[in-house]
Amino acid sequence: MVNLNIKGKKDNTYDAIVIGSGISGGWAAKEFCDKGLRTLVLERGKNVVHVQDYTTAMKSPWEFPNRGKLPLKIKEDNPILSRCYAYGEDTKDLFSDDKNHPYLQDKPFDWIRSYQVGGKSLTWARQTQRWSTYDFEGPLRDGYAVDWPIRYEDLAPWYSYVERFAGISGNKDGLDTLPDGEFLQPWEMNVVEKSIQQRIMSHYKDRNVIIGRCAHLTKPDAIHLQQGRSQCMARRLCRRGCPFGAYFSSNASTLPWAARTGNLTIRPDAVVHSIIYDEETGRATGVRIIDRLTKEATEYFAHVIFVNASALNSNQILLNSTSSRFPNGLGNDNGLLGKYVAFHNYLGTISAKIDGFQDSYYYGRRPTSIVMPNFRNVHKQETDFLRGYMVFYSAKRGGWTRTVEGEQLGSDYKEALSEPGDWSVFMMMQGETIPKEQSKVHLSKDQTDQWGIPLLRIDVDYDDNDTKMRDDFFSEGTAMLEKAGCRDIKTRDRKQNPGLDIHEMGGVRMGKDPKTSLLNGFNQMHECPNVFVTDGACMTSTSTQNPSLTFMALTARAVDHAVKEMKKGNL
Amino acid sequence: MKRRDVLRTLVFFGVGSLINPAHIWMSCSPKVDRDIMDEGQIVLLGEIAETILPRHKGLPGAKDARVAQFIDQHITDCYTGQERLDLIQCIITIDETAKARFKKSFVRLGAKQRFELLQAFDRAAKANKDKENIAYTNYSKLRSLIVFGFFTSEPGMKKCLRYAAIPGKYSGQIAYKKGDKIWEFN
Ligand SMILES: Cc1cc2nc3c(=O)[nH]c(=O)nc-3n(C[C@H](O)[C@H](O)[C@H](O)COP(=O)(O)OP(=O)(O)OC[C@H]3O[C@@H](n4cnc5c(N)ncnc54)[C@H](O)[C@@H]3O)c2cc1C
Repeated sequence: MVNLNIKGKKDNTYDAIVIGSGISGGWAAKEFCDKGLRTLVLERGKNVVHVQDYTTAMKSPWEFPNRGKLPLKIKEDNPILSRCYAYGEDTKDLFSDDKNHPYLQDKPFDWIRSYQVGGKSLTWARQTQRWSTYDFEGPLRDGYAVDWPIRYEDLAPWYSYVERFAGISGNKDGLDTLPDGEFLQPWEMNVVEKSIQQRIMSHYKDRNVIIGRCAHLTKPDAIHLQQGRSQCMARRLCRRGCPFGAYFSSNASTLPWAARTGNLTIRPDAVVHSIIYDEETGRATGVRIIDRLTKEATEYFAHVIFVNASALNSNQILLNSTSSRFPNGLGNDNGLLGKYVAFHNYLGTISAKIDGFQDSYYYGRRPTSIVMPNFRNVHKQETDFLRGYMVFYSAKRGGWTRTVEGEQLGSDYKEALSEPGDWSVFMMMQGETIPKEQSKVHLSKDQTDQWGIPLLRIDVDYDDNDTKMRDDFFSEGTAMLEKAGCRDIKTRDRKQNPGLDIHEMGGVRMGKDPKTSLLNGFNQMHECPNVFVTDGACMTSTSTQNPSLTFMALTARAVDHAVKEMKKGNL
Repeated sequence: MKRRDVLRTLVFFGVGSLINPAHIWMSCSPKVDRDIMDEGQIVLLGEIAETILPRHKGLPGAKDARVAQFIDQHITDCYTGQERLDLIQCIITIDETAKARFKKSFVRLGAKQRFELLQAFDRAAKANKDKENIAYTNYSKLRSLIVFGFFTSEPGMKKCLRYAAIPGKYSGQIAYKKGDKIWEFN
């Protein structure tokens, strides 16, 4: 190791350390700071200052040399990242390049990273749904993974807690498959979306169609104004960073809030190498980092450590935290660390056309779509595949990229393109995948990155369950669109690699039994109780919802527990 | 080139005409050896773009939006060498076809002749669904690029579409009547 630079231990000691400043780390920092703990956030990426560093946020399309398209050189240098729809000329600085951040693919896996203060909270698509009772009961009922140590009731108050602060728009739909939350005004559906909704719901008694719930301030409350955030302007340029602070990000919300308490220190450019374990006390004492730029090593100390580096990075850190007590990674007595990784099945999409509605249009860019909560295997096993999928759809009028009737040239053509075309519908699935022991991440034995950290090897793939589920979506989706009056219905398999869903989860799963899980019901390591993992790594199963709201709720709940335990002298 | 294609292409140029852009495409292949456009080709592209998206009813056209200059820079950044060669070859093919048909280069043709020429390309491109004929496949790509360059330009977006940089809100239903312009973001 280079240049071990251990400053006075006292200078480098805090009450709590949080690894990672993304969606979950931002929440951990806010909660600790609010509760009066001196908190250090260690973030491997560069600093990104809210508003000031959103350099492309106010640019018009023609102000980009390639109007949003990526130069060939960048695509060639970033073959993995270039497959991510959100990576473009306007957002490229908020993603981490492939070249400097290598990993090994035992099977094809697209690992999309945003290493920076704020992490992926800047680049995410902001869709937020609660889990339901059925989702937490899934593994037990269907006999896969292990039983969740918590149920919906345990998390419900914490969902409410984070929703109020983050600002979630939605409609109170009263569905048991997608429980209501603390909602700001919902977004509207357009006429075609409404028509499809009505026709599907009147035909299928088991299917509900609702407006998506998302982390946007449609009508800010006092708590949001206090954060310095304001109303969503419906620009949908969100992933460049929002100058209005209108969607939830660590940078707009949790981090500045935490900073205002005076208890927060953020250390950017701090690549966490490992967690330091003390054999005598049986506790973690601190964290070793490598400076991103100088490559210098430093150690920081705290009573409690939260691991929030995002699912696979947290696995990597724990696997690399070896000691004579834990030769295979921190807390890994049962050998399950890194295993039972899962993701979301995005394979299926469907497009269709629909006639009529020519006298209707819409105004503004809505940052969400229409959602159909899972209707498969909800109450009992009904299909030849396990679990189910959520469906998203949206309808819009044809734009200027379309082919018009007649000739594609001349003033008539130009005029035709200046007007909206017919309506079309786009539908996609978001399916649960089953966490399996063979779906795992582990460390390379012989290759390290430029910070001396062993490369992560990812060994995750689709299975039969995923393709059966895709086919079910194709037939159900097609039938629903037919019922809704669509024509030219076309199914398409995206054939995308696992990982490109950017909903990777697991590897450090929660459970009741230390023999079969790594974390307890409060995200606390069974074998090292002052270390908590509250990002996607902790997920026992994946269900069908976009996951980040659940990470937020789990994090706030875990900090609450940690601080209570500290007060009791148990930590 | 299959005989069937040659015949099909000929039809679009009218009886008696012996011009087939696909032949011209192939015969001019060796001429294209530079994958960067020269000044003359940029001017030629500008006129082709203007024929596809002309200034009309006081609204800007492709030349006002400097579409050819944008494409020149954009393909340098974003296209492979081969994609650039194909594109340049496509505009040369149009020019050579003009010379064969009207004995004049494209830029010297009147508006009517330009239109007639590209109309033939357009019809043939439409018939070229199976993408067998590379000359027309590339013509379709060129046209899409011109449309992209125009409607993402400032004059194209602000004058020919409705541009709302900051909509301020979303409404799911507003009335639409024929003639109302599209939102720039559709
Ligand atoms: C394009 C896109 C769309 C998405 N859409 C949605 C959506 O609609 N809804 C949804 O719920 N989710 C969505 N997601 C996923 C969502 O972004 C993640 O689930 C969420 O950000 C995870 O939070 P996190 O705190 O675990 O990780 P992140 O937000 O990724 O934060 C992790 C932080 O840890 C840092 N870090 C990593 N390794 C180390 C280390 N060794 N040392 C120090 N720091 C480290 C990283 O730099 C990063 O800042 C989307 C993601 C993307 C990219």
